[in-house]
Amino acid sequence: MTDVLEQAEERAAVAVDEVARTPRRTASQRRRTRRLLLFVLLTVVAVVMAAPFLWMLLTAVRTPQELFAVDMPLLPREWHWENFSTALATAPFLTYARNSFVIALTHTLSNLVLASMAGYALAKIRFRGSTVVFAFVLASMMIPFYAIVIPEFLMVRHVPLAGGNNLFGQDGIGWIDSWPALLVPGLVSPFYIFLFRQFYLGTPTELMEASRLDGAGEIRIYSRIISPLIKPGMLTVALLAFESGWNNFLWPLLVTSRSEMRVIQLGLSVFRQEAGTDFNLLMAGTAMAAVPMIVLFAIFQRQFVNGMVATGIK
Amino acid sequence: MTTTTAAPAATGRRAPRRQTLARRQAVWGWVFALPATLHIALWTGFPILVAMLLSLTHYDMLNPPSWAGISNYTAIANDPLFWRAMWHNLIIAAVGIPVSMLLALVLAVLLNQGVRGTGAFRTAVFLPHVTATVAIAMIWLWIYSPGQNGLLNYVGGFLGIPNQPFLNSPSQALPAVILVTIWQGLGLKTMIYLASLQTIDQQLYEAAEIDGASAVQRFRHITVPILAPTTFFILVTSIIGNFQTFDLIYVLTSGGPANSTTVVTYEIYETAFQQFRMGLASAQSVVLLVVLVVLTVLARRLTGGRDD
Amino acid sequence: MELNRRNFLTAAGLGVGGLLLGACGSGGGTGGGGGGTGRVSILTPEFAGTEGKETFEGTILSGFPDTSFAVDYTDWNRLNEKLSAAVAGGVVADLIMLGAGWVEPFAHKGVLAELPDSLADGKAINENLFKVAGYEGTTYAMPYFVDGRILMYHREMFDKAGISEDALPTNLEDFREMLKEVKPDGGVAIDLFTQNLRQVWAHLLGAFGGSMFSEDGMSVAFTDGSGVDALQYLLDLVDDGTIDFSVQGAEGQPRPWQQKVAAIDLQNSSAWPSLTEQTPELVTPESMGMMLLPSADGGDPVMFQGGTLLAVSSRSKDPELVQELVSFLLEPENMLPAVEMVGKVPSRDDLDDPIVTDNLMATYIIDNFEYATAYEGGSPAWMEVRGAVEGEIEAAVVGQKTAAEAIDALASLANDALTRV
Repeated sequence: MTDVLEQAEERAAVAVDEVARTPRRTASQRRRTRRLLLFVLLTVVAVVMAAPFLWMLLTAVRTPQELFAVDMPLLPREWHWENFSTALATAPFLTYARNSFVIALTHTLSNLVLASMAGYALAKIRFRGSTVVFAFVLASMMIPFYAIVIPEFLMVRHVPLAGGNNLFGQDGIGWIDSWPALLVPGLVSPFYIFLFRQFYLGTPTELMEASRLDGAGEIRIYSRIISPLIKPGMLTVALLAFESGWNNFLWPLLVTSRSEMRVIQLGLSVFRQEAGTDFNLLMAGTAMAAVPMIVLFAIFQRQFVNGMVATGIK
Repeated sequence: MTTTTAAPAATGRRAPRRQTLARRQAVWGWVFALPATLHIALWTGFPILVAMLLSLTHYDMLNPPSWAGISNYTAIANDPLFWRAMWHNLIIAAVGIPVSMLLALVLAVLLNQGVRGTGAFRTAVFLPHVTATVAIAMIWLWIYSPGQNGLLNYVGGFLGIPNQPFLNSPSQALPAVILVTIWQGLGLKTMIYLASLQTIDQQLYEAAEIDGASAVQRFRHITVPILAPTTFFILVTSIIGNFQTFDLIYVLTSGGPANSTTVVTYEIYETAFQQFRMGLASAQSVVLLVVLVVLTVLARRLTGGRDD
Repeated sequence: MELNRRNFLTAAGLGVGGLLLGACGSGGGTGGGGGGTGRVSILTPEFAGTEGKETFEGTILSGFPDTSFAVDYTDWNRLNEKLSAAVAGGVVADLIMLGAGWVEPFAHKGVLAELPDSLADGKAINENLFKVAGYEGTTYAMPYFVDGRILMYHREMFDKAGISEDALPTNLEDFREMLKEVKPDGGVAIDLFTQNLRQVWAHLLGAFGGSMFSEDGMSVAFTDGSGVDALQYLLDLVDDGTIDFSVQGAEGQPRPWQQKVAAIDLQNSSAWPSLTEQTPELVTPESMGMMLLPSADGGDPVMFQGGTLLAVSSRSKDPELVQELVSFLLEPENMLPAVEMVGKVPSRDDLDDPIVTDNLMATYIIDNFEYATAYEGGSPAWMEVRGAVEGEIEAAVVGQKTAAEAIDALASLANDALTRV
């Protein structure tokens, strides 16, 4: 009698167990399948986005004969890694890299400070004229660079008391061919003001008021309380500004004449001559130029982690 | 999202405090905004003013400008090529921007799931943005090459599709260019969306999930509305950026074939530095500015002006 | 977090400040140094890169006595922006190297200084090369490198079609027939589209006995029928199937001729170094033949010329010194290292050195300088018209316009531009 009961109990227990276990198994299976699908999808996307870059690398290690052969194979027959060092030696790239780095770093820092301040003010502070300032910032993004490059050049050329200029900016060459010409005009860019404003809009104004009541000064509120809340925004601007400064081309070309002042993108143009393009060296050079940016991004994107930003309201 | 506190009408006793606050805000607002504003006023604003003045002159950059009145603007009105370029920009914007914004948003959400290797995936998406446009254009010239050595035609050969001219065909060139602009612009938009996603409170998602909302529903009803201001930002900057495309067109097609891919910045460049008519180019830039202002206002209407 | 940020900002501020201070200190001034009584600044699109700089400054310029140089190596793609910004700002170089087609407009606008005809004495430069070097009867530039445009063909394809080198066509009608015979299966007879279409049309214009502008550059000359004839010839070839607009090379891509998809290539002499590097087996005397484009009526064949010229800025402080430099650069011992570095054809035809003679294309072109009668430009209005030509020609080639419509459109653009000269 007890045996039958026990057996029934056991069977019931097993049944219950199975029922209990089944949804969990299916749920985690579901999750795992979803993860797998996601992984596959992202891989496809990553391949589509990165394929041209990979092709660039493959091109970089080929010989010119292979590049122009009728039956060029997908993978290079021989991997000419020395193309990278050849490319480096074709022009003083280390000097160019140093210059590009200085420009990129300077513009990043200046934008992080000045553009964030302006973006903060436009987003969080009600002051007369803020609409005008915002409209002005927006409008200044809408003129193509080619239209203002000559006036800007003339301004740089006629800076008073620089480069041999007199008080009226005549008779010398101003900032032409010197660091201020490369650094000063790009210290603040309207795009980043707009972007910062966007990020700051998402921060809680109540926090600002609470801090004011606590006696915090405006600068402290800006720098210690509100700005830390938009760390992803700060990183985004930093990465974008650095990339922009790093890849600067036309302006440095116009305002510099000596090769000691030149930048990476100008250096890369040595592979594109009127007579023809050294495709493999150009690709090698471009790949190398992109590496610092890729490394920076790979490092800092780790900071983009969900929920790391608290809303800050206690 | 959170709104800035409006200073309510001053009542008797509290008047001094609010007024002080308003004035204090006015001062601090300018303190924070002034350095950047001054810099831009000087280095961008002033040149823009000069450009506007130049638009009323004939200026070849090699000799001093001479007065032209509005003749540059009448010339633009009678220039079918300029408006064709404008039309191309509009097409590229109308097709390219919505597609890339949607892709970017979805991509950003996917890249935010913490899948293994997310870092590598994110970096891959961002790669086109950090690579020099000239090199990108040349790779796409290979992809689009009209012979069998081009990637697309090579693949097409296996599928029995005859060689397509792509960039050498007046009808195929513009769509081909649009595809490249979408591909190239994806990285930046995704990144901005990704950064914005970080600020969304996870509890909202968790609560919705408990309530039984599916992933798609959570996306539609939580993510999209909260990101509306970001969407507005990306829309406006995409429109502006789209009208500034130059390097890509320059290397890919030089505006051809038969002017089928020319865009406004390319025309401005041609006018300024091939024809040496800077006055006319400045006028074209002013026209572009007006068009962009109109488009921006439209964009604001489109996103319901929700940017606060 | 806050601590990090503050330190970061402080370091940044100090860094930027220090940078600016340092920059201010060393601001201004170009090149400098070098005990020299003269200073010459040069703007050049050639000699890019470390090796180029070595050759130009180290090998060549160092031989010029008592002068220090500041050389600005500019991307040839951006020469216009560079030059116009420099002139607008009053910081233009003393010696400018520019392309053919730009001399007339810049001379007209007062950018270039007149050069004495005596500068060409004893330099063995063919008369024809000066067609692109003058304005209103005065010389404003000296030919330095020449770009000659000729037809290169695969011998094996010609042999296969039974065309012998002694029986090449001498007029455009016969040429058209020959194209039908040498066209390979699935390919084109001749690649006319990888090259700049504007220049291809200018070349054909010359073959039909026309020119773009009149002698004085003040009126349009291609409306005498030669313009339409030249364009129509292209359209006829498209109809014959011997050329195809979608068979084109792009930057960084192999030319159809290199892939044996085209039997003949309209090729530029400056491409020789690339050709020998990329497909050396195709450019040996055994595998490759060269010919000039015949003229329409069977007269002299026509070679299109372009190239790099040396000009002196009108704002130069010591024009005589710069003229001496121009003369110096045209001396044989100074041209040879330049030609070796750049791989282009020298303007002098008396350089008997393997550097030149080993270059098959260069030798052929130098031998045919007397036929260098086609070129683009010829008027100050050329600047404004130049950009529109390609669009119109392409529109006709792809069938959007007739030849007459395209030429009319060009003519009205040119006339409009001339009113502003």
